[in-house]
Parts: sequence; C-alpha cells; structure tokens
Amino acid sequence: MAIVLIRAVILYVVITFSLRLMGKRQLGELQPSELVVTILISNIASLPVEESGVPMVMGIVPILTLVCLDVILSGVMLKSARFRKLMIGSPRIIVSDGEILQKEMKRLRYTVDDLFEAMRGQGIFDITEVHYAIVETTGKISFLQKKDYQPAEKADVNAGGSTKDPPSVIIRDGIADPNQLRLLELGQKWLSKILRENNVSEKQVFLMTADNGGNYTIIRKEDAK
Amino acid sequence: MKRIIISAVILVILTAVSTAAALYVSKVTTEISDKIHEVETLYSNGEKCDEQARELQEMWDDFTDFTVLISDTGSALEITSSIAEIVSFAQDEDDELYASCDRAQAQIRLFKEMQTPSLWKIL
Repeated sequence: MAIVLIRAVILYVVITFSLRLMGKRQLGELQPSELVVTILISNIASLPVEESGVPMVMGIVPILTLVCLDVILSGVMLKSARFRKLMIGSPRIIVSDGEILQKEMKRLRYTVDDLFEAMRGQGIFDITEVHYAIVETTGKISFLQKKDYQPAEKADVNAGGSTKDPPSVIIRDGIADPNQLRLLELGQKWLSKILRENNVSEKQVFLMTADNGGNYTIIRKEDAK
Repeated sequence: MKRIIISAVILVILTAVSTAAALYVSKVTTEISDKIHEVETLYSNGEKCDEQARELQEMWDDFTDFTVLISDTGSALEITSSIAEIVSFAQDEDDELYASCDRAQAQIRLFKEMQTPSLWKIL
C-alpha cells in the first residue's frame, strides 16, 4: 500500500517534469507525435502503480526516453522544414477561392459533415461565404471568409486608435504586486496616491487592476465596505 | 535550446546507465553461475560444499536489491528459492542438489538473457 502511494507520488513528479520539458505547446494543440507520446505516457505510468512487482524504473525510463526524444525531434523540426513536413505533414487547402476541392477532401478522409461542423464552430453557416478553408497539421480547419462576409474592422472605417496593453492585476487579496507596478511604470507612489484618493488601504482591496495609461479599477473586500 | 540540451543529457545518462546495468548483470550472473558450477563439482567429487553454497547465497542476496530495480520480482524470487534449496541440500548432502543446481543455472541464464538486449528480444 505504502509502496503504491510513494510510486504514485514519484510518477506524478516525473510526468509533471516530463510535460514541463515538452513545453506549453504540448498542453494545447497536439501534433501527431505529441499525441502518441501523451497516450503512451499515460499507459506506461499506470503499469508500475498497478503492479507492485514491476520496478518503477520500468515506468520512468520509457517515459523520460519518449519525452526526451520528442523534445529533440521538435528541435530538429525547428531546424529542418523537410523533416518537419515528414513528421507532422503540411496544411492542406480544401476550399480554394470558394471552390470545394473534393479530391483533396477525399484524400484527407474529410466528409462534408466534418467541413460543416468546423464551419459552424467558427460561426459560418453558409458554404458560399467561405473563400478558403485550410486543414491544419493538428486536424483543425481554419477558414477565411469572402470579403463581403467578413465583419467590418476599425481600419475599414479609418477609426483606428493606439493599441493599449490590457490591464494587469496590481493588488490581489490585499497584497500589491511590485513587479506589475514596475512593468506598468506606475510605481508605489502612484499606487499610494490612488488608494488615498479612494479612501482605502491596500489590505482592504480585493482586486485592483490598472493599465499603463494609469486607468484603474478597484474592488474592495466585502468586509471592508 | 535549453530543453533540447536537457533532453539530450537525460538520454545520454539513460543510455549509459542502461548499458552499465546490462554489463553489471552479465558480470554478476556469470560469477553466480560459476559458483553454482563450483558447488556442483565439489559435491560430485564427494567433497563438502556447504561453505561454497553459503557464499553463493550471500552473492545472490547482495545482488537481489539490484534485481528488483531492473526486473519484475517474480524471476528474482524463483532464483532465491532455488539457491535456498542448494544451500539446504548441500548441508544435508542430498543428491537433489544436482536438480536444484540445474534449475538455478537455467533461471540465472534466463535472467541474464532477459537483461541483455538482442534483436529477437526487442522484436
């Protein structure tokens, strides 16, 4: 019992380290090789936990080997476009200039239902609105709508303004984040002034956000109201 | 780049450790096999062999901790049992010792082969 518990903890640490080594991309969209590694890891890790007769090394060694190989292959893929194409393929166009490329769809084993499902997922309900559809290497379909159906942007009506950074959290649960203040170039003096103006102390603030223009929002703690 | 270097280092370490483990298993199992042979030869010559049998058991006991790291406990338990029989039969001067020695030799050979990579085993 204790052995299984300790093994589970160790494997948790090893797998967490392994996924960290694979990088953030792994947790988002999976490439074919990454999907294989993820499935294999989950199967291999369960063996030494379930069977106390199987050495834990038999779980750790293959997990680390698979993850390290995957990271090294990703590095090679970064350097070599040919190798990348060999390992993960390349994006395929299935709708070009408004015309469905039926042969390409058949080759990729994509049905019309798959195409329509992906369209609906992106808020497109009419195939005639699609200018281009591209099957990405992850299997996701990206769409480019025809100009007439694209939503108007500020640039279309010459209403563009300067781009502002999104607000950052500078006080959470009564504790100020000096790093965020420094990044926003606002400083402790600015924060003290704002808190004084709002007649609130740092400890009474549940959440305070601010942008680099000095615009801020303060939400007081419920017990401080 | 840092991740790639860490991965390459881990792979090199794993390869080195696996190779060292295979070589160590090969060396120790050969020594144990020779010891079993020595016990069997002494017994067949009508000499006392219980001292050698105890040495054999000590050799195997020292190696057991390592075996549970690299192999399932089942195969190690079988060898432990066969060696315990050898010690017992050597003390009692029982002819069953021959059968126990043969069984232990076969188990040790199988254990060694299972830890040595070859194309057939990989396939």
